[in-house]
Amino acid sequence: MDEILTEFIAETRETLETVAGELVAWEAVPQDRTRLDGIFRFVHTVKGSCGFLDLPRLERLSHACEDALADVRADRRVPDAMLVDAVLAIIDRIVELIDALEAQGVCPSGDDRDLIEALAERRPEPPTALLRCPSEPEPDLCNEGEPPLPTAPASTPRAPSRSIRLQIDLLDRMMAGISDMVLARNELARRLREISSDPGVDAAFERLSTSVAEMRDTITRTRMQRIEALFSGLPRLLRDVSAELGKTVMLEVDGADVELDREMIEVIRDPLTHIIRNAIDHGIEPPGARLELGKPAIGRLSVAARQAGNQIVIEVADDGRGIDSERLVQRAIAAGILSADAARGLSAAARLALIFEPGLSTAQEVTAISGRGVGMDVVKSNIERIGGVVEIDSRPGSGLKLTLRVPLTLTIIPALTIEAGGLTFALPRAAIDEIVRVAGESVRLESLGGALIANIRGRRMPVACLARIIDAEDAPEQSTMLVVLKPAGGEAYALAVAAVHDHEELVIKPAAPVVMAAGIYAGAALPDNGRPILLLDPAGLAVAGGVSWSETARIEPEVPVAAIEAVPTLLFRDSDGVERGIRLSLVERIEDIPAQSVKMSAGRLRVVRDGRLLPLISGEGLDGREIIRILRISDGEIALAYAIDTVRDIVDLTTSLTPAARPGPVAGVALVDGQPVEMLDPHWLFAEGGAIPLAAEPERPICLLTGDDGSWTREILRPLVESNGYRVLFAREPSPSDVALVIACDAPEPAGTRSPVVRLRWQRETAGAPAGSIYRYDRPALLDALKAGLAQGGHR
Amino acid sequence: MNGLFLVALIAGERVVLATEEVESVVELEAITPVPRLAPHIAGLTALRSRVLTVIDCRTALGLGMSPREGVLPAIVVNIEGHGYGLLVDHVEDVATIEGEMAPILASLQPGWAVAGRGMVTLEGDALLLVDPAVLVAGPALAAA
Repeated sequence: MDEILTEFIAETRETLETVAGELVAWEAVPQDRTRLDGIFRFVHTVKGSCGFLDLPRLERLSHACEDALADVRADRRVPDAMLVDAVLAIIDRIVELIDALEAQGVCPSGDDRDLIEALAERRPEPPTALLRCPSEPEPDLCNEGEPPLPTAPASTPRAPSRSIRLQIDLLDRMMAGISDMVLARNELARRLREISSDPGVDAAFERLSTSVAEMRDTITRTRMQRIEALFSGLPRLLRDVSAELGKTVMLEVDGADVELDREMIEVIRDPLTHIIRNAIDHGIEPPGARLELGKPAIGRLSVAARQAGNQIVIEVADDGRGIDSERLVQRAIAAGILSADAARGLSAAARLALIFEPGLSTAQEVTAISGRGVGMDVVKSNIERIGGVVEIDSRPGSGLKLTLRVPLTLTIIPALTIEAGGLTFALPRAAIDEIVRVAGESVRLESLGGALIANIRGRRMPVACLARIIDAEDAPEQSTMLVVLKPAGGEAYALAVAAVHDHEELVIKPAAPVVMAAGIYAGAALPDNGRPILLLDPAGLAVAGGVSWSETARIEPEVPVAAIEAVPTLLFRDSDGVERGIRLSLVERIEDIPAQSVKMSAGRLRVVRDGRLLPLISGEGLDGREIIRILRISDGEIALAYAIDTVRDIVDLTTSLTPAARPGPVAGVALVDGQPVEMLDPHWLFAEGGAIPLAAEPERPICLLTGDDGSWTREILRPLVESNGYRVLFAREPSPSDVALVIACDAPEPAGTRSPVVRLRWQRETAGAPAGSIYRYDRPALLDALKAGLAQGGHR
Repeated sequence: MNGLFLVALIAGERVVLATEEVESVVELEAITPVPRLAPHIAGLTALRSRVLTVIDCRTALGLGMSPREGVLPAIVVNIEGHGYGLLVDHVEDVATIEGEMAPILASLQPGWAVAGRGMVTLEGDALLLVDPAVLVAGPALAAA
């Protein structure tokens, strides 16, 4: 049954028990106003809940009763025995319906008009009613068309209640008690190890230990509640807010059955409400504007919760206008939060993160709903207070997605213990990106104007040294471990520590105000060793370590996402004995085929599989094999076979590629565990294996890449341009006159060119970008431009 | 003003605390130091399953520093839901004090002036009644 319904039933029963006494007293002295109040409150509460829970029959009953009692309270009506009877009859009926509701899960249908009329009709002429009543024994308890419900509640078989209501602090005391037990158990374990060699004692202790652990799990679970308790209020909120703003919004809710710590639900309630108000107010456009933009008039808002490991992820997405980060920056400058200089250096993520600055709002006008200066900064600090993070993903023009990641329970946070300056601290795992050791070429520390910068596989980020933050006397060279932290809304940075110890689930309690005042702690915990440990606050550390976002943004160049993306890669030894790798997502399956199914036909090797001829790509070394192992690879349409020797491993490849010298099946070389591995160029494979043979090298038209010639241009843009049939030249190289297409990367148009020019911009937003420019990851537009250039170039 | 009071020696001074403000008297063994805090915060310690913030009363009063190693007597107080251990020189006894709390007659050292609520008389001696919340807040408040 619905949790809210269960709660409603439990609550109604509970109040009923206290009201029962009042009812009897009121019956004896109908004029007693004080008795009336309790009964009035009861029917009033029932009425409110029923409207909310969509139980119209109960609502009508309680409403009528409330009206009558309100009249009495307002001295518009003199209570008499008739009224008392009618009210009692209605309350009895409510009890019956509640019982039925609990037993069957639905409220039985039926007619209560007689009961309601019994309340009302005698109002104008009570004397007649008085006369009539005794002659008709309980006329109002039965309906004519329907079998009467059992009238005496006591005789109704009521299922024994399976739930009780508890005070949270009782649960807290249980939790504290079990924590004590765990500590005592650990202490006992230490002592036993020192003195005991008795297997009997050890076995008994083991049993005790197991049941303590089980008990801890169970008690932890008692604090859990379905997130439905939070989501159930959303439709109403949405209705009210959108009505006030004259917008129509459709709500999609998913994952209401996810369980979360009760206390956590309360902490999330306000931030979630705020985010939703914001989405409707600022995100979703008025219906007219939406139609003009080609969007459906009805806005969409989706709220979804899911559990991911030890975290609960709550996503709120709308299809509104997203965040105008340009305007955000302007406001930040106007509000004095940011200097115009600093603003220029901000990365896209840092621009968006401005939304979390106190006192910033992109709302043009202050409305009753939002835009009053309490905003996303409060959301962020509330979520961070419970060890969570807020992520923001804005697609200007098409919507905004906010992701709240919070730990499963308030009390237990997965943490990593680290050491610096001889002290041990904990870091919330939710904020940790990765942990690396400073060693070799791939991870090293660079010094820049007195500040440290970590270079982790080509990704640069500022370093905060924990030993320095806590004024420890560690030599800097002792901090050789880097923990890459990503505080909510902020930029990633590396925290240098002396050692990384262990993963631990910590019971986090708020630390005393004098401790929190330090600004770098998020709470205190007592791990199993019994020594208190403090949980560090990644955002606070960033500020204390001098690497907060504004400074970060200035030194961190925009890192192309593709360069650091972890690519699941299948490593194999090729048929010619060379170690190679291919993106795992392209591999459909691995098969062993008899050598005789390989045929040389129509000018190339082909293999018959499943009644189809697949092109077979192979190096040397197929001769003399009876069984050939092939990778079936596919781009979704074209399938082909690639002959290999053996499969080695599947790894997540994060290192960047050194491009191959010549176009061919190999796109470049990557280092895997220190060994070079050739990575196949899937594009080349499909181009080669597909139906359309590409034009030979000398006939390719030339594409000139100007402006930035950094790794993005060389490693990401260039292969795309080449795969679209161009020969790539860079501006520094002497360029011939017959350039078919010029691509200007974040640069002005080169002077004096007669060739068509495509200008790429780095930011997704069009604001401030040259007209006609293409966002660098707008693949369709880029491909169109490349095609157009090819067509034109071909005509020359 | 009649009631039970805890008599303790803080920074060489015999003082009393109201027993209703005192949770317990304990001996602390290991204090985990916490960096970046006000100087009068000696660190954290565990009392059963609770984390206590340990306050060095001498430092809080601006009168130097208590020893922070070894077995240390401490008075446990609870202020706004947080448990604190006040490091003291010595805990003497619980005593019943009768009679009114008197205003402080002398001009005290600045720390004591803020921490003292008033004066009580025990067996003929005048003792200062100390407000634990002031000790927890530390010299910043004491100096104010």
